[in-house]
Amino acid sequence: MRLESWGFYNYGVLLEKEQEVLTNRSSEEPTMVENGDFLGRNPTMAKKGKIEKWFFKKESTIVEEEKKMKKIKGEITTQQIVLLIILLVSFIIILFLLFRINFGKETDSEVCHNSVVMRGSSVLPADATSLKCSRTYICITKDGSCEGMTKPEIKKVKTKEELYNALAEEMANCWWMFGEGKVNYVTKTMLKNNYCSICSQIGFDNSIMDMKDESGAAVFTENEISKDELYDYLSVTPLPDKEMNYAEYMLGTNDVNSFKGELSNQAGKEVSFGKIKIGEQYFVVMGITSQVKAITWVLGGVVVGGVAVIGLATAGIGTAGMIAIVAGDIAGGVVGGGAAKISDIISPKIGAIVIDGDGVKNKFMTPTIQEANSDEFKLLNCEEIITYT
Amino acid sequence: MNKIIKNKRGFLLAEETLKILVGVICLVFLISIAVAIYNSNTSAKKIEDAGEVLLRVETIVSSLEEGAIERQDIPNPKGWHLYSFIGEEKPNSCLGDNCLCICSDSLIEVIKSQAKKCDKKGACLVMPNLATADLDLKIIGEKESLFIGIKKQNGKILIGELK
Repeated sequence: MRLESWGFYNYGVLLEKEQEVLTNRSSEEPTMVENGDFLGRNPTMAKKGKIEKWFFKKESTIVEEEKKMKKIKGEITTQQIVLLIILLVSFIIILFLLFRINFGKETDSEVCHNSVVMRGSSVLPADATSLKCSRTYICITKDGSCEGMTKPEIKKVKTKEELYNALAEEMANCWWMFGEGKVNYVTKTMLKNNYCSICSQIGFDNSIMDMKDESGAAVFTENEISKDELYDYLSVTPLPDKEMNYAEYMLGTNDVNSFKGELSNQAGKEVSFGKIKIGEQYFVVMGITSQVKAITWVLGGVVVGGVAVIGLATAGIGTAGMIAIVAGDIAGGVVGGGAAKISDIISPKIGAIVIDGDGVKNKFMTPTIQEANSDEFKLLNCEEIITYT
Repeated sequence: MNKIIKNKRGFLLAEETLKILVGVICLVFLISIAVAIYNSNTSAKKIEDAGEVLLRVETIVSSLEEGAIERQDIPNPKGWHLYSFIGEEKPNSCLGDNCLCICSDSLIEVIKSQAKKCDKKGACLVMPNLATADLDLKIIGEKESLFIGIKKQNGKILIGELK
């Protein structure tokens, strides 16, 4: 054999492919090879664009390397086990933290928002997509305790501002979930006038009463939280990551006080947003009118338990077509028959504000906070609640 | 020779165990994802069905006369349970009142209470005068509907299974 005549077989046994390479070498190249010498490239693999280099190895070297590899393989397996255990433990810790942070709520909001947008898009038939929006249960507390609710999401607040911020966040999130007044998410088969969405049910724990200001005085003295102060907060506080205030984002104006003043002028008496009773549960609710039937928010037009409701429009303040749903105890108790007048209502309260849609013909009841299943809530005339409990 | 075989066996055992462990973890993940996707699609429909059933119950209760018993079948939602909550722990959607709920059952009641589960996956009907405690009836399905009897007694509403 030609290889033998070259006399380097003493160095070891060449593999078949190595022999082929050597035999294909030109005569000018060195005839002797040392252990580890580069022999050439695999021509078949080179054609395929892959580089495979061949080296000369003594048989004894190959046997040694194989032995070494076997040893190393065992060591790698142990390393892998340790690594895997570390990975698993890390994964469990991350999972635990994720659950603690409660991204679930974020996901629910995203799922709801996506289903609303899908419904509103013209690509898919509206009836083919269902709304996947459910109510969240929140308890606002000072000390972490929460009576009257079963395992709600706890929101701890230390100051009045933190409390208003928690409420503002809930209202803004509700407005965002349902398309910010830009999406018509009611289908043509939905024939009722007003569709409401209860985004959250908020319990106000009694521990809020223990809240003290910097001077040590009680913040809430009468077991009540002023909604007027909340709306003032919405008018001056910017939304995180947005260059506008909460009020402008939801109502289209920051001038809530002028709006309130205009309503008071019309009523001939002070109109307010009312109060939140500490210890009770409230809904953050918003709504949309059906495009099929009425163009405006249709009010009940009746008196419920001595409480009446009317719709009042204001001129030149905020968004065009802004209507306030004003409710309150009516003079002389229950009035049968016709709708009440603003002058009939004692201490009228703004239950909700209805605005025109942005790019859609529907009107939207902006997020409002109403006592759960109260007469005021019933007077919003939500003909159907489209959120799940 | 024996040593080599033993070593090989040990080596194989560690490697295979590892593979099986990783495989099982991946399988559990995949199954849980599949179940979550399936549940998210079916639970909306089930909640709607539950709401409709409770509306029927509400109609019956509102028209029920003292001492009378009304029978009602509940074919849907399949696999869910009919619960009564009159104790201390109630779903938040009941707003502190007694209520009748149709919801998915909580497998791990210690960690997640049934009331909490009903808030997440279920529908409830507030019935302040409901007097049946610890009601837990499984809705088997269309072929074998659950039949309940609704009775008004001394102004209280009693609900039980009819067989």
